[in-house]
Amino acid sequence: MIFVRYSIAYLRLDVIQSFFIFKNTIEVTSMEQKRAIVSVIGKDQVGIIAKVTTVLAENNINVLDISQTILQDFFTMMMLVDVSELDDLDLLHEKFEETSKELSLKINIQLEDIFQAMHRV
Amino acid sequence: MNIAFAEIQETIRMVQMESLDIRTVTMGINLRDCADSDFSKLNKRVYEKITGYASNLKSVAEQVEKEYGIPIINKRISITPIAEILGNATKEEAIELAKTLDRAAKELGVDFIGGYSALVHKGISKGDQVLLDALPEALSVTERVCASISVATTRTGINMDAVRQMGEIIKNAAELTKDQNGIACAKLVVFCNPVEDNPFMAGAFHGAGEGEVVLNVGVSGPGVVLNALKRYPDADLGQVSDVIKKTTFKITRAGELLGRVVAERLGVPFGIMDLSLAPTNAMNDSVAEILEEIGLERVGTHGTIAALALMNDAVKKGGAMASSYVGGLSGAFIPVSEDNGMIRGIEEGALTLSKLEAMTCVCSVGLDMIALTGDVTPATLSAIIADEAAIGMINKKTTAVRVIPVPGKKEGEMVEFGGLLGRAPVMGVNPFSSEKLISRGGRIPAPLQALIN
Repeated sequence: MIFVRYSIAYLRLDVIQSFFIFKNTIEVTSMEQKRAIVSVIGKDQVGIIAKVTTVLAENNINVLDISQTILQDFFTMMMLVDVSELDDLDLLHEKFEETSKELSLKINIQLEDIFQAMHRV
Repeated sequence: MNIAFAEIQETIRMVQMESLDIRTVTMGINLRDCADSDFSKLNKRVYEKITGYASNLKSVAEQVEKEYGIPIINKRISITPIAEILGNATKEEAIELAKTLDRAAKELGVDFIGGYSALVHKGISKGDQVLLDALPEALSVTERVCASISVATTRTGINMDAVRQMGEIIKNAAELTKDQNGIACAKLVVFCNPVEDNPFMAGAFHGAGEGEVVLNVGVSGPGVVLNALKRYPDADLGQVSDVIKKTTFKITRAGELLGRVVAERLGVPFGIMDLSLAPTNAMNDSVAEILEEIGLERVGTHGTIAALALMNDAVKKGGAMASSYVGGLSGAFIPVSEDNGMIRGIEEGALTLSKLEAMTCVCSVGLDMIALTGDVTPATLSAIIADEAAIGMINKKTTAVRVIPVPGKKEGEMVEFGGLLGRAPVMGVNPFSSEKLISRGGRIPAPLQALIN
């Protein structure tokens, strides 16, 4: 009985790990959508995700995937977002500029094709 | 498909910390249909055609750069060699045309326009001679016009009459811009085996085999390669080659993607991707430092050529797989004034002019952005060109000479050219004369290498 319990706990931990801790890739599949990757790097603090996603929501941009880790006090987050409706990324660049100053973070937004081109044959 | 966290971070690191950039998108424009017996019509058509085709070049490139988060440093234009459309124009008219090109470049916001050129590797036509006569003044009264002259190819040999003239032209151009350290010479390249689709300045022109309009791309990225190598301090040379190959692959893919997007948005066919590693004066963005990282105490010492050959070859192998159309010069550039490592090598006495000449045997392109003493004679300049042309001719590769005999400067002094052109320590030349060789004139016959049919 103890053994069974232990194995369930072990299994759970494994599931939790695979979903939250080791989820370090972003799915890139669709061809139709125009998608971009928002990357946020900086010192960990309260409210980073809230502030960044607020900017996206205000501009009516849907988040397709999020992946986030903390490495030696450094917060890093990658988000895959749908920018099909957006004519140019300029506006978003400006908005993120404000947020990145306020939280002293580095926020980049780049069309996802560049990562595919550079890292996949 | 999964893009890993680490991969996204790698791209961002390359751009923000290791100076990855697209060095240039260069639009090639054919000007043959602008030719006219009436010079004022020709002049007007050239201006209208260039400003018409390239009107959106700068804005589109800037937009793409923002969307993909990779800087495109220069937007440039290359044109049909001007000597080919000069017809009966006079020297004064040829200078006027250079001013027109300068005006077009300023209007479009491009930093250089290349193709004030003549191909005289076998003989000099009337238009060619007019252009050669106009060169010193044309380059001194314009800012953004770049000139190139082809004086030799493997198939034709070396036109020593043209080589003799080039020595004098370079000397004159330097004199005419002596208050700016002879900067006119920084915009003049003398070629052996030039390529028709080179996107890099000052040697870009839109060759005879090219179409109406085309977009060529030159990548950069010595900083990225240097940093990649720093992560493998103990790798053997096979692994060093592999690291360079993989890094160049990524750089080239980024360049090709951006180039294609720019071309598509401009409605212009994509031409080629030039795989050259081009240094800048930015910290760590140096080809010389890559060679030092491979294992030289200072660039120029024994082993420099071996390291350079390894690097140049690895760059091509990685890039060739990454792009469907490779062209241009595709190899490592070793300009002195634009590379902090090269400058340090010369200042510390490790790197000499003879070693730089030897280095051009294993990389593109040639003696590039080298400041020479002000008292160098035209015949010596011609002889330097002849030596480089011979290396190119025999080895079936492109070589070039872009040297600046800086008026009034002596060996060891430092001269500033400003901007991308950088600064260079003045180098001395061999004190013995080559006058007799140059004054003989004529043509050095094509070598046996030319007989390949």
